[in-house]
Amino acid sequence: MAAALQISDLRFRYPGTDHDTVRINTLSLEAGEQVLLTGASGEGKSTLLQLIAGLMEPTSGTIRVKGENVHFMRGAERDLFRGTSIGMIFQTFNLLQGFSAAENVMMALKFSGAPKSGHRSRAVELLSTMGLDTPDREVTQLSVGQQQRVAVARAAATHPVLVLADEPTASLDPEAGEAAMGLIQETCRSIGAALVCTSHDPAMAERFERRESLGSLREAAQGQGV
Amino acid sequence: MSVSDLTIIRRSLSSRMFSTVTTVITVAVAVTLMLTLLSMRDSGRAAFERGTGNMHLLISRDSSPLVSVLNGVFYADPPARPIDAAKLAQLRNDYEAAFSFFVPTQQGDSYRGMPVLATTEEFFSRFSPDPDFNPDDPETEGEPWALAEGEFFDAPFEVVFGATAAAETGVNVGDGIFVVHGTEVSRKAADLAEQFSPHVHKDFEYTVVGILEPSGSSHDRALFTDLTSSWIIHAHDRRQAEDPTVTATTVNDLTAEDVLVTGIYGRVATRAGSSVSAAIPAILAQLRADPSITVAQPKEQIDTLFEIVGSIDQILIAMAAAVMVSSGIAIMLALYNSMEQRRRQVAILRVLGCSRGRVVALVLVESALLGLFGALLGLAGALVGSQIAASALRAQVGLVVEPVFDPGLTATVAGATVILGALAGLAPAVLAYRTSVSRNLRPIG
Repeated sequence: MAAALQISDLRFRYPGTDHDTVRINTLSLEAGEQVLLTGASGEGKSTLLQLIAGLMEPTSGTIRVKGENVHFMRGAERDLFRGTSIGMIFQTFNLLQGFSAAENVMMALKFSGAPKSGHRSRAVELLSTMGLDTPDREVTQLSVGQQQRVAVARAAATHPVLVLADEPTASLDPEAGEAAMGLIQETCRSIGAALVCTSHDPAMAERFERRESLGSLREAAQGQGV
Repeated sequence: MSVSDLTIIRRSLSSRMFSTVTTVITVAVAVTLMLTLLSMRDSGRAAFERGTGNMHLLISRDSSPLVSVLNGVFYADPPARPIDAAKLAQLRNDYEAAFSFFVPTQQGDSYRGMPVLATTEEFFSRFSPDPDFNPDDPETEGEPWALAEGEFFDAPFEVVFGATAAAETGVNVGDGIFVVHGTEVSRKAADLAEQFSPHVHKDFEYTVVGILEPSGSSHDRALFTDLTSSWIIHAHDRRQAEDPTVTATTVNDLTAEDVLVTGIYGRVATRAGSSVSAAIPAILAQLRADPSITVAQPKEQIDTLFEIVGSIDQILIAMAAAVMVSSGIAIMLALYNSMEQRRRQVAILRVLGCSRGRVVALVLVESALLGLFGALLGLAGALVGSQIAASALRAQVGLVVEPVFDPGLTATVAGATVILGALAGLAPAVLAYRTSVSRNLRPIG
């Protein structure tokens, strides 16, 4: 069975700079596995997640999700793959304003190609599982905690093999952050998705059995002279 | 149940309602202008052509053929120079045999601003506002005059109202009216006692005997009575001026100077199934050789009139087209400005799996919808606007125009507006296509 995520010889350099922002020789994640990526601000955590999601092009190297080389895909094919196989959670949630909680979740299903008839029931069920019983309320009318739950439900809606969480607790107080991270991890376990979570919060480290430092990954790559 | 693309577009439009409404109104104004101009141009021409009806020639003593047609058929102004009895008799003697009808008319009086046309019974039995009506052909496809109520006049001092004249004055069959000399407002007999006007032919009451069905021609706003009554009331004025003690005038008091007409509607006899005759040019040439009369071919004069106003027409339509283009620019600006605010939304959609192509399609459809809404509102505006323009034409020029929207032309304008809207969305769509996901998903602040 293919790994949920397989990164090989990945390099990414922003145009006009003289160093690699991302430099990883190997990083692999099995199905359902959860890893915390740590690193200081500017070390490339968000950049790595966007490379994995196929939203940016690597300078070199390969990224495979569920055995598929994301960057071999082009255009709409890659977009559909992302919509189907990868869920994303952001620090500021990035919910669609003007739409209800259920519609935000349904939007993920819409672009995944899932049968239309099941969108609404799946969204309401997911939100209910997460303790949100007001699926038709516009997202700007929800509390921060409720918005966080909508964001998690949206990321999990398509049963992705991989969930990418970019500093998901950075805008929450410690207690709420603990609860949010617990929800994300539990949700990923329940749907069997691997989780790559970035954070610079040391308190989060205890929640993950596997932790990787981007700095260490870079040094390892440099040590091998690649 | 799912979130459709139309839902996304609808939320986008409603989230900036003010911009959406003002943009749609801008487009609607342009479409209203364009459709009203096109409708009035076509309807105006049709109204002019209906006004001249099935006559071939109009004989008068106006200063030019065009003035003759405008006065004699469209009631622009009462003709100032009448044809006297001797000339009328000579023309009738020389030409009537070649004519299908030879209908003398006289103008000069009015009722509540509506012109009175004194004529003969042949005006209703032979002349028709329908150009296809051939009175000599039992199988004619054209329609003769039709009565909505009552009957045509067949005796002096009976009057038939055109449809618009009846509607605007509120008269009914059986009412009595007094007409005025010239164009001053007249009044019903019942009102006369309260406010007397010296211009009213107060000694002669007309009885309304019929009201016509609408014909869509200038005649709808006219009243029709027989020539003898008209000659009598003007003879009475003449006689009272000569002798103030005169209290009554009858047909026996008429002299040659009272028997005047201002125009003659003529149609040369044609074969069944045809509305033209090879004899027309020859008759026309003979008539034109007589310097004491003016002979007009109404259809030619209408063509001349439209050639004169044609360039103005084209300029107006070009201006309307320019307004439509500027409304397209308004759509582009509205969407372009909104795209600046919607980059994050586009980035989120992209993260969720929405392709660049679909983002472009969403923007283009949104843009085309603005054009469609504008076109629909503009069509409604044109329906109202053309009625207002038609009312103004009827009130100020006396031309009865029934605005008609050619389905093909209307669909073309609506389609062009939608396409223009979609084209206006191209620049915003490119902006959406090029939206950087990574840059626009960063935490704000």
